[in-house]
Amino acid sequence: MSMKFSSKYLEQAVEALSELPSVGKKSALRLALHLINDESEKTKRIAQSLITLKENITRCKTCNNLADTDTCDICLSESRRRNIICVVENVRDVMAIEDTQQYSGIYHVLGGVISPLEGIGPEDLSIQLLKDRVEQGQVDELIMGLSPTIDGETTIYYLSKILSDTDVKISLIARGVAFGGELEYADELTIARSIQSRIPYLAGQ
Amino acid sequence: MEEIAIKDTRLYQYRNFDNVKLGFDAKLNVVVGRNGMGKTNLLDSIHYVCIGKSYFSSGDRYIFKDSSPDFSLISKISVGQADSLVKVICKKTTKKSLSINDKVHDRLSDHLGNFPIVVVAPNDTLLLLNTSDERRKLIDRSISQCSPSYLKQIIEYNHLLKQRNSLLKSSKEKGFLNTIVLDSISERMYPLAMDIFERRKSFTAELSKNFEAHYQKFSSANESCSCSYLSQLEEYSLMELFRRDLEKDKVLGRTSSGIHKDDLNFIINDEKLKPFASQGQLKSFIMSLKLAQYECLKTNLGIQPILILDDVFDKLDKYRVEDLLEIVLGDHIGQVFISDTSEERIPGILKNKQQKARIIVVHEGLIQNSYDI
Ligand SMILES: [Zn+2]
Repeated sequence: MSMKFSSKYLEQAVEALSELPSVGKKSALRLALHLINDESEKTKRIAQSLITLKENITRCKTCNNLADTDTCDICLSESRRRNIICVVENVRDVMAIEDTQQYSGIYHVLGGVISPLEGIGPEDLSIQLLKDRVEQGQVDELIMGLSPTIDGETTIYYLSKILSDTDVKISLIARGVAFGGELEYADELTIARSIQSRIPYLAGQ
Repeated sequence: MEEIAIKDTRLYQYRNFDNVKLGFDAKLNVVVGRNGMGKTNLLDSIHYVCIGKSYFSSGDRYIFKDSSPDFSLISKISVGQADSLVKVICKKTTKKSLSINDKVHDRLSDHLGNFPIVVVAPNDTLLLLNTSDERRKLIDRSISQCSPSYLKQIIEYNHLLKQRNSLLKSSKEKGFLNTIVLDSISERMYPLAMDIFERRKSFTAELSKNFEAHYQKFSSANESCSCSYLSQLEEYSLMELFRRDLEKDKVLGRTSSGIHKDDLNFIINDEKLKPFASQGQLKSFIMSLKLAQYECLKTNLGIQPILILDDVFDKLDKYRVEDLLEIVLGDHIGQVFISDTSEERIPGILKNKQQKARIIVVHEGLIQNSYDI
């Protein structure tokens, strides 16, 4: 679909907004027109907050979660149990588990799963960081909160291999968390229950 | 033995059908019409309802009629005394949904095995090509219908195989192979390969036995025949194969051994059956093989599968048509769907035999006529 614009400013704004995922040309136009008609400082606020976000957001040097400083709030918190780490794929998984308010351990955000088909190897994920954490010796248990896909399982298998000479216990959250397996789509109760009823991981099963 | 029969079906925006509802005979249905009118499409819709996907197309995107955003199939199927309502609703924008009596099946494997079906079609001669894909597909299609967990294992093995090949290929380019990643993939394939091998082996043993018995009946010249399963796992475990071929695989950038190389070998009179065998031999071969597959499904599931014969009467003389009809009309075969280009030939033979049947005349995506004889 091609749009005829009377203003090249409008055209540029629509082009820019439609670069976002799941924003089509029509939605982009609606958003742009909304901002034009808005009398408050909304446009400035939105633009400014996005720039601040991009310039300041960083990764927690401990767990690879998103953070404002080099250590995230979860890792800083005094009340979290530091001997249990829940390993997840992405930041959205952390948020989904945090929403349940049932988990008191800390996290490790891998940034994805191993998939040679998509060109993702262990070096593209925060796996070395995790290994270092475990080797420092304060971790008793790793809870694998990765999606139960074939690639998720390959990643868990890989982790269990490279950690086999440590005495960390590896467990799985109960399967069938949600249809499709993605933590972020499961409801809070289901996530909480599946973390509580986790099972020990036995490689090759 | 439980009997199943499609009672009726409604096709909406399915290939060249706009919106058609039709009922079927519990034993024999003959779909007639010129080529390109929609006979095969109609038969394929029966397969779709039973298995959850098309037999003739590799993807749903080929099924939508013209620019229609969706298609659906709704069928009433009797199983023993009870009726099941199977609904397939497929939209271009979302995942398709498949339900039985309004209970949605999340996975295709949940649907398999409820309504077993065997299809005989002209492209079955592909079974004799040099590449083994079609022959493995025949085995896999049959075992999946008997055991849904098998399908899951095949999907898993094939996915891991793709990952392994991709790793070998990219490592070849980079000049470095992460062996722990390789092992993480390979070691998960070992138990899968073992299971798949065992199941294929026991299934093909049963298949061969039935195939040989049927072929004897079909071939007039008392030809000897056999059908055997070939697999590298017969001699070595997948672990041994992967270890043996590691250096080769690294150079090739792909996995050279495994159950993805399994094959079936058909021997007629001490010679490997070739695609250019005589018409008579080919027809006997295909019918024997499919009837053998039919027997296997029937024994394993305790249900009489549905049999589809698409365009197989073409080029057969009147006597062979009668012979073939005789076989499929027997009590050991359940509901049958046949397609033929001639409007008179099969109905004529059936009338002479005083055999009851439903004749469906298809013309340009419409049911021109449907009558019982
Ligand atoms: Zn942190």
